[in-house]
Amino acid sequence: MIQFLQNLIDAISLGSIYALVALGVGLLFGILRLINFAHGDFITIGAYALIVPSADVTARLLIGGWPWPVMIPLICLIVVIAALLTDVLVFRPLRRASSPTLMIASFAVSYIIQNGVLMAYGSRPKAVDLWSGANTQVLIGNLRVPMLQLITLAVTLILMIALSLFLKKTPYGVQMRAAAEDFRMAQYLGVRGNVVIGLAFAISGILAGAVSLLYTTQSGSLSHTMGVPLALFAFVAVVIGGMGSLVGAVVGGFTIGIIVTMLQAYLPPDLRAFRDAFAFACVILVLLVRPAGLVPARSSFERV
Amino acid sequence: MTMLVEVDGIHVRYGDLVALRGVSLAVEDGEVVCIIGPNGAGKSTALTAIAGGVLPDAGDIRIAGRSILGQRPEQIARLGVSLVPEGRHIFGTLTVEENLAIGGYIQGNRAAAKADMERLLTLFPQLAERLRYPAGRLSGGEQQMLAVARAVMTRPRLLLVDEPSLGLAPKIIDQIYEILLDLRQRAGLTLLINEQSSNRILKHADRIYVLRGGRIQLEGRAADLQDGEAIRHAYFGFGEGHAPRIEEPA
Repeated sequence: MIQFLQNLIDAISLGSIYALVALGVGLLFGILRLINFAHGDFITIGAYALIVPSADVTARLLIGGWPWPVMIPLICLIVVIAALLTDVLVFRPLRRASSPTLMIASFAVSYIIQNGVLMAYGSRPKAVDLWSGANTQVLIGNLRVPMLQLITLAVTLILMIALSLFLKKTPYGVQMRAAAEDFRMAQYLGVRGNVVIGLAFAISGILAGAVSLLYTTQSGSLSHTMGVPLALFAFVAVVIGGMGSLVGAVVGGFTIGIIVTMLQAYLPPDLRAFRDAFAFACVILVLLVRPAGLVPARSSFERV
Repeated sequence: MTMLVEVDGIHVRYGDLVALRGVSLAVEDGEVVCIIGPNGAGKSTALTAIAGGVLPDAGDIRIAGRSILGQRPEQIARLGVSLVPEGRHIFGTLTVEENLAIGGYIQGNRAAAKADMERLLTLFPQLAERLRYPAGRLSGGEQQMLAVARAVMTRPRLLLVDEPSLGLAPKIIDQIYEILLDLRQRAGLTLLINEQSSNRILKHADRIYVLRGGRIQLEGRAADLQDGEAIRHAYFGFGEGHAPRIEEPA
């Protein structure tokens, strides 16, 4: 039982990371019908911004060495700027393009970022010790919970509540929800399309920045392709959650986290190497039962 | 009289499909003008083009004398043009109040928008009772009223209304026309309305255009077209089962 609860905490912690990534992907999909595969590389940018740009094997902390009240906003700001630049340089000229075109463009952005990081920092993964206290364990009853997992969960909850308050209570939030439901109609009513889209990119940048800090602290290493599996799992989370639904993205993120962790824990050792294959088989099963996702979006898909 | 909107020989295509072939029309400040025509005549396309939703291949559209071609819909909305689209396009997951608020943000003055909303809601008691409802749960008639109210929240000079009576009961249609004409008085609105049938509109409109096959077939003052014969010819086309009546010499 204790073992299972321990696994469940791991699952929720991993799931909350996927949920944050999936929120970033889902938000842009809702408004722009863009499946942004470069979202994972926004996370990479945030992670590499922590260290001094050099091809040395050992990483020296740059922003990562600064006190956290400076570091956290600065990392988020850097990722937000990267996300906004992506919008202005790549996606704004493609405003009238179809969804598949946008998706292919996001692959291009992804490769450009990865190779940019490769040129500036070299190809070898780097070890980074961002916060050595993160692995102290907190005893809750008989459960040993790593501090970092609690913080990951807390950060996720705070960001989700903040995002939900923003979308419900502020004028820009209401405009974003309207635009996600019917972009053209929102424009007819004077909602500035580019502002709303820029805002969506900025928020997805903040979410990606938070994930880069959490994920780097957890994994302790950097690589120029570190964002790719995150983006892939987040995309799958968005699909099983229900395309275009933010609640769905969160539910999907936690679902994927739980599936992956539980498979890792309970698959026979010989089969663990094929964990992801089993995970995606589960995803296919979910989609067979609920083709529109776990929490289907109510808005219509068309964007005339 | 100044022309509030002038559409000057516009051609609009969707891919290979030609929707408008050189349509010209004009609406004076304060007028109620109606475009009538059968399904697929290009009525919606004409209104959409004025609102900036589709770019004509040729021709020009001017609001208060200035060309608006190539401007985005949100820019045209700021010139005082507001569209109530066909099918209403309510934001179904937003509340009634949020739907109205969307139209009010354009003013950039929350207090004024709030005051506008309260004043407007006296005209729409059904909406006032359901402010916190998800708009998607309203009935069709209520949704149409919400679409009108939401469009008026942008403080337009020109209200474009695309088939307000589509799919609604006659009693509700009367109610919507009453509100539209009331708004015209109170807010000094100019109305350009699309309809498929001329019955009701002949009473309310100052002028009428008949659109068929992407061309204006007839235009005239509503007062001159009351017997409906000329409209019928224009609407169905000559020699399509409705031969023109030949007057016997006296």
